[in-house]
Amino acid sequence: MLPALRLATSSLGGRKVRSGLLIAAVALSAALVVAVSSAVSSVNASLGDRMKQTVGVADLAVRSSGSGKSFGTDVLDEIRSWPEVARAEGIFSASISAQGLIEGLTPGDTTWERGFLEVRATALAFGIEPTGIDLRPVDLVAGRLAQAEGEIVIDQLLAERLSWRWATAPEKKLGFAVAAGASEVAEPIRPVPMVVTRDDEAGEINSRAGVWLGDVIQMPRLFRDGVPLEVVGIAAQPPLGGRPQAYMTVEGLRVLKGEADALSEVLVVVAEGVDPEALQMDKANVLGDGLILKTTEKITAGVDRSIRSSQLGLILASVLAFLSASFIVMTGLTTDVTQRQRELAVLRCIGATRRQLVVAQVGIGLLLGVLGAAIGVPMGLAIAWTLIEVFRDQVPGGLSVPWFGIVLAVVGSVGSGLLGAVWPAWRTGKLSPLEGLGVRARPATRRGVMIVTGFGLLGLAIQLAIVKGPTDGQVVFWLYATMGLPALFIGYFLLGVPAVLVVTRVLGGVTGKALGLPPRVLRRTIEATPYRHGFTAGALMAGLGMMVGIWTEGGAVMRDWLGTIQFPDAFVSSLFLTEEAQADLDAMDFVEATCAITIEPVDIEGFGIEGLQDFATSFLAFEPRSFFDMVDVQWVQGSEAEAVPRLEAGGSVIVAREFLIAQGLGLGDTFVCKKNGNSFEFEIVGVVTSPGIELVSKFFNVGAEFEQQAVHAVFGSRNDLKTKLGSDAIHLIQIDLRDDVDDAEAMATIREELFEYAILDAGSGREIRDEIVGFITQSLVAMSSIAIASMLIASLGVANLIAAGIEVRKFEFGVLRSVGATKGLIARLVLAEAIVVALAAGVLGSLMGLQGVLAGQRIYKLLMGMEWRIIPPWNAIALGFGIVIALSLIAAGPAVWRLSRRAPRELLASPA
Amino acid sequence: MTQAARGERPDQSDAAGRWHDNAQAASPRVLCDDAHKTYTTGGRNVQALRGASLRIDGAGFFAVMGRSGSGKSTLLHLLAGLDRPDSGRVELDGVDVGGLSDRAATEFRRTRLGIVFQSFNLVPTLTAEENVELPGMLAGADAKWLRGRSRELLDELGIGERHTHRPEALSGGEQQRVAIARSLLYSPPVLLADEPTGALDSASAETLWSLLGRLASERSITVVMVTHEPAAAAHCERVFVISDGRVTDDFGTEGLDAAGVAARYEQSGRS
Repeated sequence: MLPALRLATSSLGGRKVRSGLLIAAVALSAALVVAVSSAVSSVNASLGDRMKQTVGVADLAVRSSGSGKSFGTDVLDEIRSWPEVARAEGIFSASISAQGLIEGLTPGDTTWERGFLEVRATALAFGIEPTGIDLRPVDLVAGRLAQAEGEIVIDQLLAERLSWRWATAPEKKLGFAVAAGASEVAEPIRPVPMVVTRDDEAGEINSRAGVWLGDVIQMPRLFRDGVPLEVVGIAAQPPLGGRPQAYMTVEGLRVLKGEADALSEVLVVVAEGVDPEALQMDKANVLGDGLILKTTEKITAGVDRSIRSSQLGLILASVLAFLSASFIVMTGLTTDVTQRQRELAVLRCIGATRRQLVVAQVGIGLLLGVLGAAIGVPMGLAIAWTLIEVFRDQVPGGLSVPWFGIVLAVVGSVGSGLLGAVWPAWRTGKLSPLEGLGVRARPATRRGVMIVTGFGLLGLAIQLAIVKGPTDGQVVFWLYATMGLPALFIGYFLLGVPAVLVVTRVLGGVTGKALGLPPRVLRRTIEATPYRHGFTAGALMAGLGMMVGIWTEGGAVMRDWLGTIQFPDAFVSSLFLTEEAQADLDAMDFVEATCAITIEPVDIEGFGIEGLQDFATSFLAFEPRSFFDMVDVQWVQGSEAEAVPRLEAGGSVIVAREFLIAQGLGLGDTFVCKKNGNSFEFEIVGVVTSPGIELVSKFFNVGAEFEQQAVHAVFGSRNDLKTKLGSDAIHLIQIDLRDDVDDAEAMATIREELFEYAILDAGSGREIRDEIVGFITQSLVAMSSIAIASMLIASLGVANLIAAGIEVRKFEFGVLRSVGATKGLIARLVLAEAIVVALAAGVLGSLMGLQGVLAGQRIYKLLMGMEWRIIPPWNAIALGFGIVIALSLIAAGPAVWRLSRRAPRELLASPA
Repeated sequence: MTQAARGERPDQSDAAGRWHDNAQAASPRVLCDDAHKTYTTGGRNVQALRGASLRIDGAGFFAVMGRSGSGKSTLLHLLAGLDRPDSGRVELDGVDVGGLSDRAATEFRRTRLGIVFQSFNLVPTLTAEENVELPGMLAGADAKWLRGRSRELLDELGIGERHTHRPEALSGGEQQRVAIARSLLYSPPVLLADEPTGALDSASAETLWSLLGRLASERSITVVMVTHEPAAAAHCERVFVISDGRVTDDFGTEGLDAAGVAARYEQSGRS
């Protein structure tokens, strides 16, 4: 073993630049995996922290079955009487409005002068007794907890909303927004000077002007005097942002809301030795209708599933990243073996056994992998730490080191080195001394190319068979994840060989002419070594394929899903809206109609991936006639004239089109949903395209946060929801505006007029659509950056290919120079090779991306009921082509520059 | 630890085809008896050797001379165990190298045979002394012994001060000396050289031929050099002429200079 390892280390050490490129390719792949897994792990940790804030150390939670409804303190007394319960604490939550008057500086002609600004915001308030704070933890950054009725703790998001900076900001984000900079909320500079002359001083004062400890804010109430509350504490904003929140004593919030004896939630700690699950099953029906008893594990289960599915995604992405790296290693080492054939033959002649040379080759792969991991893992952690620091507001928990991701990166790095060494090791073992001493360059055989092409097409066929064959969505998903995707990847990698030959035939002439090369020189060069060029193109294509796939799917989501949703004019949402709020809206002259909507998540089977991530369904309830007067949906089955009377009569629902596609449920079928362990049946009286409400409810996060992701909806009457599922709260009011009114002005008026109702969110359909499109676009850009990083890594393979190619053909270049070829011609010839490889990679990547999207299209349809068309994203493809060509030229640059500096005599000094 | 690992020339073999050290003085150092070898190149069968026979009994410096395509390199490859004859027998120091397994032939070359090629002799990523140590390193020999032995050989061949230089820093002649030093690591009885001066200037070539001759006599080794140059053959004590795959003549070179060898060679060709 030792001689073989010595051969391995000397080989690596003797070719430092090329070894460095291969190590860099493995290291960057490892860094990418570690960075992504660290980022995901940190976000998940913050998600977990957020959930812990919701339930603290409690084992069980009692909530109303109708989201947002409160119940009496007798429930708390009942629970406390159970011998199995060690502790129980009640929490009351409600939406509140807050306003204050803050001092700042307003610009004058030449100076800044002290002024006052009224600031307003709505928030979600929690009434918690100090004795129960461990069950609903509050992360204080300043001050203390509220201990009396007239005290309040505001979080950083609410402090941000009650600041000069927010009040004077030209644009404000809607919905479930994250306030960037909320964590920078700092103690105001007081007293504010009467006059300030310097702009920077005024800016500093205004940036910190806002509500702070000791200030009194007013809580306006409908039809009653407002309540003054002193701010005694500032809490950290929830991880990953969310709504502004405030914390008071239970009694303090009850007095504010005028709801004596009200609770929203009871958190329970069981006595030692008691199993929470068993207690939950035992007492589930004791508390009566309208109340649900759940273990906190069930509440956080959705987050756990989300974490598991992100881990699966990480594994899949890592496999592809390291496959790509192993392709680069394989191409690099195979080129090396080809170049060193005579050296290897001499080693055989002087006594090296086949086994020693094979082990040496495997040792090289192992060293590449180990060194790649040693460099890549810390690099990835550093990148992740930097990213997390930049987004510290959203991820206050900081970097969470993902041991799973690190192990994956190490195993992947070593694996890619070893896998990449297999083929060159096999070739080394097959090499006979005579063969190595003889002719070095053997032209590629047609047969060899055909074999590689055949295997490549087989990979594509396997992927297509998996995508098109099975009809069970679960089977398709798992087969695709384990076999289809790797087969697609490897298939296109192998097709790199015929691809470079085809591209050379079709575009080689044009490329050569453009670069001033003699005819057929470029083609002869590529055809002499199609495997080297082809496999490098294969390694380069992965990132482009990813980008094409991302933008094709993203475009389809925006066009065929979001684009078909007809959002109503406007919405307002809160924890618990009232009919008075609706009446006030109806009284506004620019409001044509309103419709109250109740939203309740229900359990059904069939959407999502079993065991990994399943999606709940929302039951959206409204007054059928007024709702359909306001919205314009497409009836896939049934009609409005027939469905509305049936809905009003009760026992019927309308389902979204995705139910028909994914589960075959349509007109006349029975729809079964579950809630709190009870099953409810409805007859389906229509199938419609989405009216956008379920998306709005998700956008405004109406309902339990993060417990379940509701994607699809059924629509029914509020009467049914109240009688069957016990929910009659108003969560959303849909608004129809007059056609001639400006929606931005209308929304501003609505927010102002309904301030005392403590509306949590209000937005126009246009604003919501713009926000969602912006969010999707940002996500696509973020994912594209990963694809570009992948292309960057692969460009190292190009650099290695070019450097190795130059080394092998040094003598040939020397001959060319000596018979009259200029330095520039030689350089352009080498650059032309890089361009051909990039073009082939572009073609392969585009095709792979589109074929990959076929799978996505089918899986979305089977698992989610979403149908969309595949339209190639030409802009992204063009951009991808540009990037791979640019990266290839940049990668080839240094080697070409070094070559052009070498004198012909030096090139000829190396024997042929 | 094996004998090779201890730095000794191994002398064990087994019935499976490993070599035996033939202590009997009657066994020739080099024997090729009616060897035939045909290659397939570009779809054509090329008969490289058609019953070549050659015998060398003791130590000395010998040349195998022939034109391009005469089969001289093929003959050398068979002698080195790099290939097997289609028929006939090839022995080196009493060992039937044609009958050895690949593994056995490899180990045979490691310690019982020295080979020097025209070019690409050295591993470019190793220093001169590391290149000399290579066969021993492959045999798992003691590192300290290897280092001492390599220094000794490099000093003997006049390039001791270059022991830490890589091949790119050595001249052609110096590189060939390193290759010769490597081939002498285990003091083999036979050293085969395939056109060792083909890439050298005439002065360096002269020096190398004299060196090979000196080694042959001082160390009692049989040096067989394949060459097409009369000047090279003139340094040898005997020349075997190969033509069309057969050894057609052999003659002593005593009293002959390069021109004399050339004339004698031409005479062999006409007869």
